[in-house]
Amino acid sequence: MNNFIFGRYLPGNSLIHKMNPAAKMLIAFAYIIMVFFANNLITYIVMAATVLLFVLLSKCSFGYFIEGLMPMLWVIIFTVMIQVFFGSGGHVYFSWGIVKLTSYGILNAIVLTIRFMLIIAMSTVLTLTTSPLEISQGISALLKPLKRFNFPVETFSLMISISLRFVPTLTDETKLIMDAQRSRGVDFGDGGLIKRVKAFVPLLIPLFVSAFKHADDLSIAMEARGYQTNRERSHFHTFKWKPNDFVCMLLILVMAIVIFIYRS
Amino acid sequence: MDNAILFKNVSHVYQENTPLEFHALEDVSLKIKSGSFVSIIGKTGSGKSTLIKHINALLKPTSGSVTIGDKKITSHTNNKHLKPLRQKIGMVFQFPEQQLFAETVEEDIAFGPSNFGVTGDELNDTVMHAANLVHLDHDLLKKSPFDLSGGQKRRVAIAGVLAMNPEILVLDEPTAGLDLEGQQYILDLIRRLNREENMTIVLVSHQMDDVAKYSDRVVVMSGGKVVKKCYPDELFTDVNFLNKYDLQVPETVKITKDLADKGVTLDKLSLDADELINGIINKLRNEDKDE
Ligand SMILES: Nc1ncnc2c1ncn2[C@@H]1O[C@H](COP(=O)(O)OP(=O)(O)OP(=O)(O)O)[C@@H](O)[C@H]1O
Ligand SMILES: [Mg+2]
Repeated sequence: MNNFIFGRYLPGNSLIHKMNPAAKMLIAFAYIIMVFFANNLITYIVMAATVLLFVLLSKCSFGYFIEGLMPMLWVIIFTVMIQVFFGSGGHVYFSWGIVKLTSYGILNAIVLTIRFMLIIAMSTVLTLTTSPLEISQGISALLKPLKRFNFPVETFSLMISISLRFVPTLTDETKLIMDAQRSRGVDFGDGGLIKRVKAFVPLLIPLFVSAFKHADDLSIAMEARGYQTNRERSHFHTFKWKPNDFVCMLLILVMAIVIFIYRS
Repeated sequence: MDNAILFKNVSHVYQENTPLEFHALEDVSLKIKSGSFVSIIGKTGSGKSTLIKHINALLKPTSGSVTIGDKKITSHTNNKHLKPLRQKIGMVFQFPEQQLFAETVEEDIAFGPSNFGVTGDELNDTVMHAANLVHLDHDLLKKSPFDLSGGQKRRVAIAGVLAMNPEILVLDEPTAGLDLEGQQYILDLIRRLNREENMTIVLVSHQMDDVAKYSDRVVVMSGGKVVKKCYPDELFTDVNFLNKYDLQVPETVKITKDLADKGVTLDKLSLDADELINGIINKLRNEDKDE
């Protein structure tokens, strides 16, 4: 649970770590869209080579990428099964009622698996090299243009960074309260469903109490320091656009062009 | 029954095999005798909380073993069958009032024992006994724990642990954030439990005055290692050692030393303020007689 989405960030010093978070998010987003345009061997090889390059540049060991795959494993297996057994078209190898094993079905399953892997690998690069705080700053930088349409960008990005800011705090508190209740004889994750759900009551109530208390304290502190909604705020860490951001974005652009040329 | 706590070459690594890997305990060996009052001190981050979480298997050693009475815990110990151990050991964490959750104070105190299968009249008696131990007003028992003051909440939380009738009581800075009177009260309660009920006490504290006054033995930790195990008077007279590990010198020791510098040597070192005062008074009387 700990390794999922949050807490996956690995501090590091690689080229990718140092990139502007907004650039990284744009790249990941563009890449994921391009995955759906790839449709033959050459284009998939180009896609795979690109993500491999990013993985190598991030200097994170492959183990983390395998780990990133794990939570999605069942989703992949399930989708592949459906494709294999219920896909239609092409040569029929085997058929039993509505279940059919066809050449198209198998081909689709392979394509799907490859797409899943590519998307997961790229998003893992993003989450491994970008801290939650950077992600929230990246989001707000990317949302900036929406200001023209009266979208409350400042408030929204503050909301995101406050939520992310409290993830580690609440995680620590969760651990502490779990330890305290375990010491009082609670067994989390033992017994039947009802028993398990019941075991979470002594965890969730103190957590809510403390979350509300944090919210209360924070709002008072913000008010005391003159916070007003939707005013332009400055940041302690500002991200400039550096050459490596442009190089990486150019790389993705080239990849996209190649894919549009070679896709069938 | 003998409930000695025995740490044998215990190491603990957080987040092993990741870049965030952290060696919080390194080769710790330690024996805490049944019925003793042991304080664990050391700078922040020295691994005190990590150490005490091994006592009731909230954490398991990465290598080495922890033995409590006849139960041995190693890295292979199964998470099941820990209940008897957990019942035997009361854990009071820092800011224990965070663990309160029930609708009434009474229910919250009853939570621990009922998890260990205590029911009916016995449960009632246990709750009342625990409430009495911490001097909790009986009108408060029907109130919501969230309506109490900070100090009252702390007492309820401690009562909730005492209600389990533990043989070993482990406390992680139980007095943090209380006023002086509240601190005194809790420490006196702990001492009473130690002396009258023969409970083994393991106390983590940053208050050297309290450590000096209350404990039989002191364990000093630094950087995940135990650097000293000794009697309090042995530790607190070694000012060089205290300075080396950033530990405060208790007021009683300071006063004794100041007096000695001025030429007044007391018969013995007292780590308890009251005893020290009596010692000084006796000294003055004797000097009067001599003249
Ligand atoms: N879950 C964890 N993951 C990684 N490192 C941890 C974890 N918990 C504690 N640590 C690290 O282990 C070290 C020892 O922590 P511990 O909580 O035992 O210290 P402590 O002596 O109790 O300090 P304090 O007096 O501040 O309570 C610290 O440096 C801490 O950063
Ligand atoms: Mg601690």
